[in-house]
Amino acid sequence: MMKKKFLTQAVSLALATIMLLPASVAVAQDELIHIDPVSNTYTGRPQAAQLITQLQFTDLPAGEGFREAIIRGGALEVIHPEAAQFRPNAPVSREEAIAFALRAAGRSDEARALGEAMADDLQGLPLNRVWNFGYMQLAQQIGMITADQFTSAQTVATTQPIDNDDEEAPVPPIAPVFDSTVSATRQEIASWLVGAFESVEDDIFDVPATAGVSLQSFTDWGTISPIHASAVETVLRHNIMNGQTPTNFAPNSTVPRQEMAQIISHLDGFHFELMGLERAMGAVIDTSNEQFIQTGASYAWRHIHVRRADGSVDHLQFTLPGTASPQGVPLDAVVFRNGEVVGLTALQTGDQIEYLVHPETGTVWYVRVTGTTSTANFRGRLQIINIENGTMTFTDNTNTAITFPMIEGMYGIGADGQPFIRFTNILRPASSLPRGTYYDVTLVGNLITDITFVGDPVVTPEIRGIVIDNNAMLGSLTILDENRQERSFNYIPGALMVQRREFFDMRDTIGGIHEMFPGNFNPRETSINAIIPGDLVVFRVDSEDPTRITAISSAENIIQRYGRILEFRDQGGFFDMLMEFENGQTAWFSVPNQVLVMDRGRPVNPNQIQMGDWARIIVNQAVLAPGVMMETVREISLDSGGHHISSIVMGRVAGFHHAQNLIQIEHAQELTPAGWSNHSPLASFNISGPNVRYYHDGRAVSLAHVQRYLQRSGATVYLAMENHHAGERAVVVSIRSGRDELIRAGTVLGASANEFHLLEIPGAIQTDAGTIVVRNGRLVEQNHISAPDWARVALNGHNTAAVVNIEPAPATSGVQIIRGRIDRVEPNQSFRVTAMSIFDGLRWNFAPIGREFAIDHDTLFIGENGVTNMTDFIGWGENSVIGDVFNVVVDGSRAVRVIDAPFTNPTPDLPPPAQGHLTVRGTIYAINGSTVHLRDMHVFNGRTAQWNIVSNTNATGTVTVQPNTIIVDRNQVVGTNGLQVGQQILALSSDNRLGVTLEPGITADVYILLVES
Amino acid sequence: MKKFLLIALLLGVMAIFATPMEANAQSNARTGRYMGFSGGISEGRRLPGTTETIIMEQGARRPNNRNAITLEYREVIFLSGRPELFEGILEIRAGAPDPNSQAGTFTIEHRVRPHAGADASETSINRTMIFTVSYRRVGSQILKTYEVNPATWRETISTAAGDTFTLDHARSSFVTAIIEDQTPGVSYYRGNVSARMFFTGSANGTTIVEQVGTINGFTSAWSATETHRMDFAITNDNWALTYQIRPSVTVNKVLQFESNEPFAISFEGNFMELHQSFAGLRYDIFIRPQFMWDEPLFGSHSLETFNVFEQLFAPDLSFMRGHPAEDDIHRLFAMEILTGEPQFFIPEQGITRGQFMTALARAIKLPVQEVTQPRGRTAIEPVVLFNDVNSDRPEFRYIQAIVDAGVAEGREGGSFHFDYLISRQEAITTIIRALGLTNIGLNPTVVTPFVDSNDIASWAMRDISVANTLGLISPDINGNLHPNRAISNAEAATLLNHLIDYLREGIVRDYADHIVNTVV
Repeated sequence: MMKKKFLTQAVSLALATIMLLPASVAVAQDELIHIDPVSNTYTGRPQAAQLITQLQFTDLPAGEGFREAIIRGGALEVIHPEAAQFRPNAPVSREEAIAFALRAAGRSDEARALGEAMADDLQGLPLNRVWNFGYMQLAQQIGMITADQFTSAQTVATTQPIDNDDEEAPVPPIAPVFDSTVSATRQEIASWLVGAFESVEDDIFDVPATAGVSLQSFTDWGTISPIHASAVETVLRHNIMNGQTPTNFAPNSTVPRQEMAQIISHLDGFHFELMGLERAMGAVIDTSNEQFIQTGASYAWRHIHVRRADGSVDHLQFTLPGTASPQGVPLDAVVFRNGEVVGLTALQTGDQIEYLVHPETGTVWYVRVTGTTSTANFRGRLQIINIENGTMTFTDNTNTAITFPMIEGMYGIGADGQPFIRFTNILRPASSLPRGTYYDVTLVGNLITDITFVGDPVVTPEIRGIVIDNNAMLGSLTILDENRQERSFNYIPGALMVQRREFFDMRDTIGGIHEMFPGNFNPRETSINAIIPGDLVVFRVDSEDPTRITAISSAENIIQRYGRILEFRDQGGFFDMLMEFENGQTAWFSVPNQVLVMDRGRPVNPNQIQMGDWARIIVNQAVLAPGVMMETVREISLDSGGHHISSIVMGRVAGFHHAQNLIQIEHAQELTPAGWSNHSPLASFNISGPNVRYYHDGRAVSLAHVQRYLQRSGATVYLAMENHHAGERAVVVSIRSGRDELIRAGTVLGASANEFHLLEIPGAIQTDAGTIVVRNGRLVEQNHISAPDWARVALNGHNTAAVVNIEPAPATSGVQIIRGRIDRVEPNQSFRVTAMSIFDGLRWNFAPIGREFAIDHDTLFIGENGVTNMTDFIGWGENSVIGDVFNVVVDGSRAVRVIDAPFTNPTPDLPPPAQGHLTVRGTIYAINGSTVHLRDMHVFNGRTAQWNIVSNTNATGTVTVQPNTIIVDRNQVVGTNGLQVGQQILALSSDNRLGVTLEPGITADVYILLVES
Repeated sequence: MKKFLLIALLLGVMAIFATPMEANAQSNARTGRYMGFSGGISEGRRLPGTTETIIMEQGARRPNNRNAITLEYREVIFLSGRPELFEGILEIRAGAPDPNSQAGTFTIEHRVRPHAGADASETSINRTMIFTVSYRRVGSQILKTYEVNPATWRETISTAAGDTFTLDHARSSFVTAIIEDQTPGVSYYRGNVSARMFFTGSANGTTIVEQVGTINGFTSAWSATETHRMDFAITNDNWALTYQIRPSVTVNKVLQFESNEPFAISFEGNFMELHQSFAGLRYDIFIRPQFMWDEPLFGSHSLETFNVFEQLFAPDLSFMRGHPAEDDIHRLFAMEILTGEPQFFIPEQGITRGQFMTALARAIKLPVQEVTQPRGRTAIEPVVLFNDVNSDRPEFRYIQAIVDAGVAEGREGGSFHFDYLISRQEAITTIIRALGLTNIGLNPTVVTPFVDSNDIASWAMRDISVANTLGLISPDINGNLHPNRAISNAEAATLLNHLIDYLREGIVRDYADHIVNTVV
């Protein structure tokens, strides 16, 4: 237990330690470091921690080059630290030189093995005297030294008195004795280096040298031993060693240890090849920590993300195992940073690094911080994007081409096979970036991490913003610009070019810039007065007076709204309109009469708007300041009927078909002129509309309430059905507990907020929220009942209106019918009658004056077989109509209908017993095609001006409507299909009244039919 | 070069498995597919249900569009000079654009015929139109042109009066051109139609029908509407008739709550997903033959439809019973837009950017790259987008989809601020971007109607203005928006429900009712 606890504490401590190390934020300019895939992950090595400790030399030379070379040699284990001092100025001994050479050639393991094999023979000797035996033996085996030299060196080492073994005072060499402890000469070192490397790879130095000099360029070349000459030549050519001075190679001089370290570092290329190492350059962009904790085996990691010089991403990873077992050493790498030997955790964001990695094992061996990553901005004209190489080429102001590599995430090939560039954080086709124009380029360590479009120089400065005030009188315009700044400008109205695009303008103006094409007609040219708050404006200012506008162009800001007109008040010159939008919000608008009101595609007078109409309105919206908005109606399109109330239904709630959104009504009847009609034992009605309103005895309730408590209640339900294009659907479902009573239609005498009086009905009739009030087919509010509306009312309960259906009052006097004899015809233009009679209900008033009526394309000519062609109405030939008599429906001086029909005169022109033509009155109870069945049929006696009932028991009869019958209903001429059961009609025939017996079954062909109620 | 191949391969694989189903209408608008272009309506075709969507996401075979679909069909014809309703069948065989091609062609076949056994004296249409659709993609848009090969265009129309009109296909012409814009949550489209048809067989000589009109439509995961506004001019030797017909077909999905009747039941009611269909047309006659003087100048017809439904998941939200957002949260869990254990979704706590974006991606049914491929293939190595969105997090792919779709962006430093609380303005902005409606806001939008408009960040101003115009947000009682305030889980649920509700019904009204009900 104790051990486990200790382990846990140890792990925790270790993790706490690592977490205290600063983890930096990412370099802002390379935001893609974690977006780009990691090319390689390199972990630290277990031996690094010890190396870091050992390489803390206290006597490192001042020169950065020497220091770095020593630490690098140490990190790569070419230089083995032996003590706290490196002794940089001490000459390299032969044995050291040989060991360095072999280690650099990657043969240290072999040497160590040879040394260990000799260990038994060397017992008793101090390690500092025999450590080199393995290297010496290997050197001898591969020909770096001779067998004699090896034997000699071994002899010296083993026979010298131990007490005298002092490195500070080496025993001078005694020829031909080869003492390995004496200083190596420069030519020996050259020879051994070449020998060691070539022992691994024969032709390693055969690669063409690119620098360096030849030994013959030195004045002391003659002193070089022929044995070493070839090697010296090699190291010179490959720049591994140089002369001691520009003129002397000094082959027999010694080499200080710090210089030896540098010589080894010059071998890096060959060394790396043999060791399987690779060198990379990059910038530390981000470091982050991660930890994994579990009892006894925990880990902490520092992740270092490096942007490589080629734009790809490497991930260096420091690992701190949190276990106390011997294997639990950190996986680290020697880092040389700011002259100090540290580990990976010391790397900081922004460090520019050179690092050595071993790809085969995925490890990082050494990191050198070479400086701080530079971040620079560059502006240039984009010339070329080379996706294959990942580069962009720009030209600067001197037209010099400069190519930069991109970070990996900046470019690629998309799924569509097209090259893309990440531009403003969006992948765009590379081809879409304009070439030859300026971009701002962000460079992190010479890598492009971001580009921003700049474009070319502005040649015509323009200001853009939203108008919050325009005062043409003062010549002042105030805008909010793109930076939300309020700015004021002035203008001289007469010296200003103004364009404005209205919301309905076609978007195909060409040559809109006036000064370029001053002669062109531009339909958008207007005056400054046209620019109103809310407009989006673009304008130019005077070059000398930057506050004076010289030309301005604008577009209005419009939005579309849709809703119901709750109130409409004509105020003379303008009207006020309260709209309720689909989301339930309401707004008042004051609309000038000039605003176009469209109904079925045609402009109509604003007073055609009715309360309850739905409309789509175009609104100019201006937000003048936070919280201050002004909306101006620009157009009103009246709904063509989709929200009109197509029927009002009454019945008893029978149930719901929830999934199909249906309400089932028992004994469903529809409100018609004949009262509740069209009985159906069980009918379903759609309740799928978004805003169906439910009421119970005048109180708003939910559908759930109705379903749960009322569907079996047997209560009476009234539905207002809307004429939705996808089928009728209910908008109001009003359930009442009382008994339904449909009272006769009548005129409203007066009304207040929740009651009204009806002519001939005693007492006030109450309304409530659940009262369905329909005016001219539009659902309106209960307070919209007013005198002198003509209303059909269904009561439910004590004087409470369940339904109030307001329609135009029955009237026929608005249609003027004359009968005249044709005197003259101007084909397609007009005709004249010599004299005419004007129809006045039950008599014709003769007017002995001729009159001319205009004909137009809407004038209908109707004969006994129906519509005839206008071209048949001529005043010549066999078919001349001159002298013929016609019924004419007139509208002022215009003929609306010209009808060839018999004379129908209820009032006799002849002396008694004549009673005029048969004229009947009755209520329609059935319609079969053109045959209209009447009940309560009365016949008019023109002589007595009395109506006589056909029969007291069966007062029925039929009238037949002819193609040339004029039917008038509510001051409109309608067709046969305009007649409805329940209507009371007055019908005039041309039959002689005297020949008709009052009995059931009277029939008559009628030519004028008036709907009375 | 190796890198490019790898990316191309990776993206290619992503494209295959991110291919949306028809449900994700974002990829394949239904232009004319279920209505034709002659002014008719059908019952439409319902959107895939939740279960069906999940089954298809798991690799089930998509329906073969080449199979014929037969739908009830209505059309009003005016060749006799009077409106006559035809009731019959629309049979469709429809191809679709190749999701991996920038350009190409496919065909759509429409056949209209009477019901089998229909009375020969009734109005009838026999029509075959085979459209060759050429398309190309430009950015987020697909541009399509529909043309009809005259050689295969057959049309015979019999009127109630007994006249039979036969299309002179050699002389007749038809063209439709469509522009579709695919946004993250909605695919919008508009088209123009033009046709000139010559019919023989009337005593009035050759009847010439000129047709010109527009198509407006959209498709989302929650609804699809297509509405036509077609103007026709019919002329013959004796009369002329002009009219405008506005057919509209909508399919959508709504939720209905069903409570339990038994008391002892392990869950507290649940939502059903109801698939609705609305189809109707309205027409207005402008110029008519004089013999039609007593006929109404307008009319409408609809098609009776039948709703289908499925049950949705019933989460246990008893711990928040009575909370004002209980229903909102319930709905989101039912639709599996919110997933996991509901008790972790504590209403008053803030919601992080990662959580909100994940729910938003699910709400608009953004296609996401699947973790495991169908039929057990090796999983795709995900591409890391942000340093703070670990690919092992379940939300990872939703964030990836959100970013790919341009709904949200990362923050400075290559991070997404995944686990940071999301502000109101961030949430609203993403919703408008998901709808693809940023464009309708004024550019630049420098002020909004909110009292605290100056607190709104510049990047959010336009989207917030649009959200306000659409009614997706509204100010508090003092006129403030509080754009920088973090939103709670409950508020987020409400906002997302508003979005879905708008997609189900609000936008439908704009595309159906508002167009059908007005004459332009």
